[in-house]
Amino acid sequence: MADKTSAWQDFTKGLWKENPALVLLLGMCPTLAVTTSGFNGLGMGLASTAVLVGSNVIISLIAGFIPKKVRIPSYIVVIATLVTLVDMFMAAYSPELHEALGIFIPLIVVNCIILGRAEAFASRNGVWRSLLDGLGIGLGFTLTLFVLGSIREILGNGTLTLFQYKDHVLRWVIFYKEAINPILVFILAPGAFITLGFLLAAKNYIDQLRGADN
Amino acid sequence: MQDSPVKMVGTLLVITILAGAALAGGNMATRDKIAEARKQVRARAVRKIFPACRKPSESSMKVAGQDIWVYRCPGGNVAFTFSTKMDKSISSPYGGEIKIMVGVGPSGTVKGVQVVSHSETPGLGANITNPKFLNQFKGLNLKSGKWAVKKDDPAGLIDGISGATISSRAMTTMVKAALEFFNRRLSKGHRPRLPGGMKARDGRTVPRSRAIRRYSPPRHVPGAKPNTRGVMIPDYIRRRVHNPQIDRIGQKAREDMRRRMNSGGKELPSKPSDADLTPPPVR
Repeated sequence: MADKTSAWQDFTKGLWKENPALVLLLGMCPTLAVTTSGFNGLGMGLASTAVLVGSNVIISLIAGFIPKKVRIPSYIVVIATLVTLVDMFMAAYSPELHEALGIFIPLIVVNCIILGRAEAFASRNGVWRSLLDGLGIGLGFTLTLFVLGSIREILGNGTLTLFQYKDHVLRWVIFYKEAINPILVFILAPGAFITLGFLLAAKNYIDQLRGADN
Repeated sequence: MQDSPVKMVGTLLVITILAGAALAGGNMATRDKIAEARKQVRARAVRKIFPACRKPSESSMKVAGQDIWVYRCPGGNVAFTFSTKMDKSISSPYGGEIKIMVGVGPSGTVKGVQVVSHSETPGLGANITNPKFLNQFKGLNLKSGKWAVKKDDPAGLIDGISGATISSRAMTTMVKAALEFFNRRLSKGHRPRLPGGMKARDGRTVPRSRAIRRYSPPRHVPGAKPNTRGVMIPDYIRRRVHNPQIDRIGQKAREDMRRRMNSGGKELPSKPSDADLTPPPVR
């Protein structure tokens, strides 16, 4: 059993103290690759959260029956199955959403946050706490991806997109490309590293300030 | 405690069997729905390209192991699906495969392009779905100029997406290949090849050997004469390519004949008007 923490803490720790992207530095591949707009970050984050909650629940249920040496392959099979099922049902019952998020779904399998939480938390805790942990970590991930994507989109494209499907777009124009040239590099891969670096620094700076208060 | 190998293998076996069963069940439950959803996506793309075309006829053909869905609209507009994997001349996209719906008018001009599915990078290559990019293809045909991205060739027709030249290049070469496919297999001009060595109205000449291989006409047609290889070719194919204008003249002649029969042979055949006799535009 992990140390005694309240259910509320199981949930909130993922948002800040154990934020997967900023503290654990897990799931860097989707973090860097898909956060080219606010909406992309949001979509990837929410899809990952759904899978994370599902895999945490299932793994906390079956962890007791699985011999230690084969736990990793077992977890991977569970996660891959879950992702494929989510993909299939989304394609069948919500083709619009599937088309908007479809490209992110297969990426979720290789997101190490999910395997990481299965290994570090769900296999050692009960169903309820694992569910809260999945939800917290997932939302923390979503939030970080959204902030990262928004900054990159604003600087690199001059817009902020909250939702986009075909002609239905919820997007603000922050500044006009004709008036100010956007910094294209922020949309490209190097921009992801630069922005993430600044976010990490900001997070650590805030932690330092709060630490100094105590 | 050391777990026995039997237990480890057994556990994995059970888990994979359960996972397989879950996937099989999921597949069975969603297969029809997914096919239906794909069909709707295609129908929506056709409607976007040809808004006036309410009920297109749907058919499919196999090319390079993949289905091409063809939607024919009244008036000669054709929309069909095409993919980056259907021709060697298409430059590879950045990720996976791009599938598009191309709308082509009877004269072989692009009427519109819609992306059906793709897996390009969000924010970069995914901008190929942007109407601003897609609208560039409207009104182009194979003779419009150089089918290339401006970044590769300043004289190119298509302004690529910044940061996504590979995706833009894939789209440009794919639409070009789709047009070539249209001319080869789908256009109204695609009819049984002309008998060898004959010159068609639009000036193309078909080598004798190829024409014979492609076309084996019915032998019972009156007026059929054997060609050099003994293949019977009916007169009406030797004489002309299908042409609506000529058909119209034929129609007129038939009506004329009917009128004269009814009048008991008193009426004289009418002279064709000048409009009937002006040569049709070369397509």
